[in-house]
Amino acid sequence: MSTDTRPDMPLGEDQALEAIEFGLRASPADATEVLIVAESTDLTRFANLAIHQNVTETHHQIYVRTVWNGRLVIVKGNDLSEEAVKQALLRSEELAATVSPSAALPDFAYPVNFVAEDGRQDVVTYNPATASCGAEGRARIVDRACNVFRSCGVNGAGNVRVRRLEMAVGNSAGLRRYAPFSIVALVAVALDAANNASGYNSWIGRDIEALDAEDQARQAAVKCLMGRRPRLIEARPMTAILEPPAVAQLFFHLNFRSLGVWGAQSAGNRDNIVFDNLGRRITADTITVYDEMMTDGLPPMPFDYEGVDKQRLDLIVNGVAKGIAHDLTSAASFGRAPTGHAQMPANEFGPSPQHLVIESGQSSVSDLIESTEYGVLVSRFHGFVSPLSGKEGHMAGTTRDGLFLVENGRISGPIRNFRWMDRMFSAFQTVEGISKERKVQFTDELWFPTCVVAPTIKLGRFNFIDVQRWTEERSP
Amino acid sequence: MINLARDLVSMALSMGAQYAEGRVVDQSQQAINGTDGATGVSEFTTCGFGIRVLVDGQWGFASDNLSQQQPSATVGKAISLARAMPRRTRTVRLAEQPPVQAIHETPCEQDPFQMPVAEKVEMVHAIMQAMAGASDKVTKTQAKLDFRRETSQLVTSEGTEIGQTITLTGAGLAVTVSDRGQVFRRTYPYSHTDFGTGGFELILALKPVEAAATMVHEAIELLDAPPCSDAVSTVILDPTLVGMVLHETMGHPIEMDRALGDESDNFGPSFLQVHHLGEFQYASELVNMVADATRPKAVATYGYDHEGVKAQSIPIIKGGVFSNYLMSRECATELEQPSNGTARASSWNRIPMVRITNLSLVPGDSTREQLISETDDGLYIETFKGGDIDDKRLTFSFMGERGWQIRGGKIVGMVKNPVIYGEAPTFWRNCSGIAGPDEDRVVGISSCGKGLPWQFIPTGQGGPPARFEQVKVGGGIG
Repeated sequence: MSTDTRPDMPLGEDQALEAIEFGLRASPADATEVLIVAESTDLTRFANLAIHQNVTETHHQIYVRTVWNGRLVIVKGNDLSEEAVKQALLRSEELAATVSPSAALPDFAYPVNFVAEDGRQDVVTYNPATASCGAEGRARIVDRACNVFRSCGVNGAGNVRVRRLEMAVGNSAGLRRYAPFSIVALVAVALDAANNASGYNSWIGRDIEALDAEDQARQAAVKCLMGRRPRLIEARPMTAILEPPAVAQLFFHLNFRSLGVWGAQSAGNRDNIVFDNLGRRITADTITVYDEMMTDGLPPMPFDYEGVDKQRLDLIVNGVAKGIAHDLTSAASFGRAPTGHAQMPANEFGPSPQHLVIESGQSSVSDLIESTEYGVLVSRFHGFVSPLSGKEGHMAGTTRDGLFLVENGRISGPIRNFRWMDRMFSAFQTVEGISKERKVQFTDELWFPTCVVAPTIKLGRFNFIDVQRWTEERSP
Repeated sequence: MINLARDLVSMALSMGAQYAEGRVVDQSQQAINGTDGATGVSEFTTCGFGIRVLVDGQWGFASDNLSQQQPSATVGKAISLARAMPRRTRTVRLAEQPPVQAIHETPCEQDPFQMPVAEKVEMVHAIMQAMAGASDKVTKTQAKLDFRRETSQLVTSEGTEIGQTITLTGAGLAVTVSDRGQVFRRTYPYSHTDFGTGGFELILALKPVEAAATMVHEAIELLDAPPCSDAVSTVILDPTLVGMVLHETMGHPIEMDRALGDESDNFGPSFLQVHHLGEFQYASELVNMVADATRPKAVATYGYDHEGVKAQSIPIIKGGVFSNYLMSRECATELEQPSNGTARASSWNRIPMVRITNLSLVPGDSTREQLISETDDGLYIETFKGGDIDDKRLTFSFMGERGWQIRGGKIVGMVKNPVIYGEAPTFWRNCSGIAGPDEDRVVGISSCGKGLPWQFIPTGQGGPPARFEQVKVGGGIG
């Protein structure tokens, strides 16, 4: 596609590939990779039912990764001029003279020789209507959400983000790849501080036409209204029905935020329960998890930051640990094939999946509640989680945005937030049901959003250890 | 730099802004990472500008790379964003701020960016060698030196012109040992790279090479240490844990934008509301806390914040009472007070927002040894390993790498991975002793996250060892 048809893009395909071409031509290194990521991102945030932040950024970064006599050097900048690229290469050569040979080196020929099956490379990643959404369009989305909140009698906060992203990568083995992306995301949070209640909902996608702001806000408001005046019950291990935002939060942390159990980096650190148990059962046999960017509702990413085509990667199949994500370097180190999950050079997490899909079950959410004699319905876990042990998949955290007691097959009312601490794969041994319905959840801590397609999952036992007791009334 | 910043502001005023703030920023980072004897060097630079405007009481902000040939287009975007905002329920006002012309530069005894890279690589090698050679149980060695420099120029339409150069230096190491199926990772000085403002002299003072072999021996000891039993106990925390508990339970709740609800769509608001100010007994009377952006060598020490307000030391808790928020110029108008100089942006493409500076517990008159000797039954916990907190900054858990059981005022044995958990006001109200200034220490992290788009920024936190009664403890990893 020519850049003329994507006027909203920060760089355009031609400029990005020209800079890559120049860097590769000018490099005297044994092997060279040039990665360019660019973005034009607009964000509108609101709180107390009014917009309080409206920002835009245009940004690009160039990573030059070179190999000199077995020594790997990474230099990053945000100047694409020929002079700047030349300086980066000169600096790389200087730095290479100071460091020791790398234990493993990336095989830059791999992404040239490996081609994914038909159709994957041509996946549509860009939507012009999304890319052209401006401040007025975002304000209208905010208005729609806030009007729902007002009509429900709750306070509201949230954000709308429109991102136009470009990724281009080339290397000295002949690789040249480029992809443009459009992504729109909405977060809607309903709040009733006086009644100690909140509700959350979110949406992400490639196409802005698919976003129904009113519906997203309504679901958050309903949850908030349901959660008013939560009562205090003591925490203890019990049945827990985890809604998609709660399930997703656990998987975000298992995946990269805290423990990285599907990444080669923690495997290399000998701190990875999945790696230690490949081929063995680690969850109930009803759990199947894989990484697949070609999944409905997910913003697709056809190749990773090293230009490797993304393939489906099985992570857990019928409860059995199956896969670890590799980039070019970890693949060389472990003697495995790269899986197309490289993150940006010199990132702290190492390779990790970004399109997690948990297979749906046979139950409805109502079935899961009606079959519960005593337990809790967990709307969401807080994103701040303690990573206690990757070796055991052990984490701790708190619930948020709606916790409900389930008694005799029905929701009997809201309760105060719990603190939890559990070994995730032990908890997922106790799966008693999985919903047919699934929702896409996302986190944007990495440059490209990480998504989980999550069902509601009922666990027979989840280890809650404490309850939030403090209330405003207790303050002097 | 200054000419571009002035041009940005002039253009914004000519396009209709009533207030404009232009920042031009050049950031550099050099990281030397060592793993299992191999070293790698990464160098990052980013240069760009941001323009924030107020038009009819509404904010707009736009930014672009420094290579942008038409900064007027970026300024135009900021103006358009401000004009596109539907009328807020509250029109933005800014607390009064006299114009400032100043230059600030972090003092560096030994400029890390002027040193030969080879010298720094050699140190990373020496750290790894000291660990690898200490025991055959060592399975992984990691060492890191990290240097960052930000040169920035701020110009505002009120006449402020401030140039700053801030240099951060950090180091850390980790060793993983394994034996009989047990694995333990020990870190120095704690689980994050410890940063400060200054040059290579900070790393020399940290003595990472000397510490390396000790960490190996301590990690091996922990392989066989029992887990911490579940109990309600007296605990004494080392400065790394005091710091991180402070950061999460006191630092974030006192950010006024959070208290006003602006972070409700992200990690959450704050349980501390404006009516608590000056009245709420947050902690025991022993507890005093300051947020000090002037503390020498601490990581969040600067001359002026990114709204041009002078860095200052703010008493946050006085005699246990919540006494001050951290405030930007906008937030400060809620209290009709001046800003206290804590609005910072992580880079040229981010807006300034209220951020934690260097938080510390004010030293008391005890010592760590005295706190231990006065404890009949308790636990001394060392080296922050991880933690979490809820959406209102109330309930928390924090883990140390190792703990020491105390019986009858004496250390009697070691436990691994002790976890404390509880609720912030209850925990701080049970503070029963604080060591003195000789044991006061602040550690620095480079990447405290807040805001959207995410902003990761350096913050300092710490204090002397402190004792707390009636704390829930447990073994995170049994």
